[in-house]
Amino acid sequence: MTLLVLAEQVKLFRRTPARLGLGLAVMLGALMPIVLVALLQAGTVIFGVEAAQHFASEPTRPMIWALRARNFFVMHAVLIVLGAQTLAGEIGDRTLREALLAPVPRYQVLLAKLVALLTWDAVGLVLMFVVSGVLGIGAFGLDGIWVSVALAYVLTLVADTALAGITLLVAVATRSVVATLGGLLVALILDMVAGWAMFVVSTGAVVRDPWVVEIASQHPVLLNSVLGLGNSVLPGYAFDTRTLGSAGVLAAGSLLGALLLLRRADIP
Amino acid sequence: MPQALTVRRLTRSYGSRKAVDALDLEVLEGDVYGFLGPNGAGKTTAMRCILGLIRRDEGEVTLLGDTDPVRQRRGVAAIIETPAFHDWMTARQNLMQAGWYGGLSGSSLDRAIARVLERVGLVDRADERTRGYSLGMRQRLAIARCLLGEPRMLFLDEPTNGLDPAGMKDMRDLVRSLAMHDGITVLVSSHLLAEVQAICNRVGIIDRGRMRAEGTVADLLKSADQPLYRVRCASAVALAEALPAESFTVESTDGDVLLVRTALPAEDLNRRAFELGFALSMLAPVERNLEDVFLEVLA
Ligand SMILES: Nc1ncnc2c1ncn2[C@@H]1O[C@H](COP(=O)(O)OP(=O)(O)O)[C@@H](O)[C@H]1O
Ligand SMILES: [Mg+2]
Repeated sequence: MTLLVLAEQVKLFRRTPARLGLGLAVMLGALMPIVLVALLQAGTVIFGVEAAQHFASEPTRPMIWALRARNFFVMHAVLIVLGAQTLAGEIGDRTLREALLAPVPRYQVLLAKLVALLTWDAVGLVLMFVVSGVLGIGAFGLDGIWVSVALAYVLTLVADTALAGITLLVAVATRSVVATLGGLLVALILDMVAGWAMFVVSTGAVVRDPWVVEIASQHPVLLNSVLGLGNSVLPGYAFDTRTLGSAGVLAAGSLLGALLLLRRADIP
Repeated sequence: MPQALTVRRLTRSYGSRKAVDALDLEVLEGDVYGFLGPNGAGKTTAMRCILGLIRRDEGEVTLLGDTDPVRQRRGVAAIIETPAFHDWMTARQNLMQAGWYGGLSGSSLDRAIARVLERVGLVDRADERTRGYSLGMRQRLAIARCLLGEPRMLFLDEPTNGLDPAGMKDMRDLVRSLAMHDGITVLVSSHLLAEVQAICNRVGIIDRGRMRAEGTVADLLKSADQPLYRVRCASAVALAEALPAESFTVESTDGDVLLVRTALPAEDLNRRAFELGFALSMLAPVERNLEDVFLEVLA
């Protein structure tokens, strides 16, 4: 099993989207402190207020920005592409067949792929945390809301576990990279619309733009809320334990589904 | 010799069509077993079922003495149809992947990779991406991948398909050497009869998913019929009439060539023709080959 994980990790980190994604994580991590310093130095006025009054000058501020930018579907998109490639892609190009000729049970192959995806996700988060953190400390000293931010980064990994599981499930069900990407896109849009509809029904507010991704207006158990799980422990958001539970249920359920499907699947 | 592979009543349908239909198969250790059948006979489907790649509807498979579907793949390697690689990686990186999957790592994996690359003659090209590999190179790399774990049994599905004549010969030589030199049991599927006859000691002929005939090549070539001779003679028609029918059966006449069946030795046929006043310019036994057996079995 360790060697399977090693194989999948080495392979995943060689993929172009994986490298682009890590580059992006570093870029966002470096960019946000620079942007904040620039805003403060220039004395930019935002909504009639000076930036210095808007934003506390603490090192964790750019770390939050970087995480929120990343969680705005950026890294989710890369994770979905990687999940689709590693399972649906390998069924399609027959390389999974070659792997399954080895004396290993199929569930281990699937788990190794999941662990590789999460390793990549975690490496991206760590890179971003370290880069934005180090630059932030350099610019603003040590004072900040470290516990919330660290928790936000960790919960983001939990949320991404659910997304990775769902991607693997759709990948083994459709056996096609394009169908997996399409399926996830449709699922996210439907989820968004469902969240909006539930909001309308529960509040009675009729006029509401469904295309505005307003995570606060999403029902806490829906996928879009789960993807914002990391954000939800940050100031200005409300953490809901149901969202954490939903992440767990989605991760476990999708993974179980993927395991059962792969076990029975013909991989010619 | 103990059995390397025993298959009992293996069945797999696609819709209502039985691609493999109650197939029985037995490969002994040390065999180079020719799995022979026309296109669409069910060879590939049977191999996929045996190796656990696709579901089987019925049947039992004992592979290297084991019936557990995962454990029995230890000591087994296979090439099914066209081998697949991660074409964006180099050949060496592909072999690393396969090695890890097979439970090898570290310096023993490096040594194994060097050994198999040497064996198939790809040392110089190992650090190129497989995207640029020719079909022959891909086939050899696939063999290299199979040999990484020092398998006891090898499944090869039409390994010479699409290769040029030189590539086909290389592949045949390689298979023969794997069997002779490394003692690997081989099951090789093919629809090319000459190829099977050249490298296999035992043959199973499969058609429409069923085993139609099985045995050593010598057994299958042996015929219940009397031997057949091809005879050339200037006055062939006259000779056909002159030969006494109780000892010689003339099967056909074509120009100056006769096909004569007889239980008597060839010398007797020659002497008899001479006594009757005919001079033979050629007298040759017609050897049965697997093609004849194949056509008889499928008829
Ligand atoms: N995935 C599939 N779906 C439907 N029919 C199939 C499939 N694979 C194989 N078959 C059918 O099963 C039969 C056996 O095919 P195959 O095992 O590939 O034959 P061979 O390898 O001997 O040429 C053929 O009639 C083929 O059309
Ligand atoms: Mg075939």
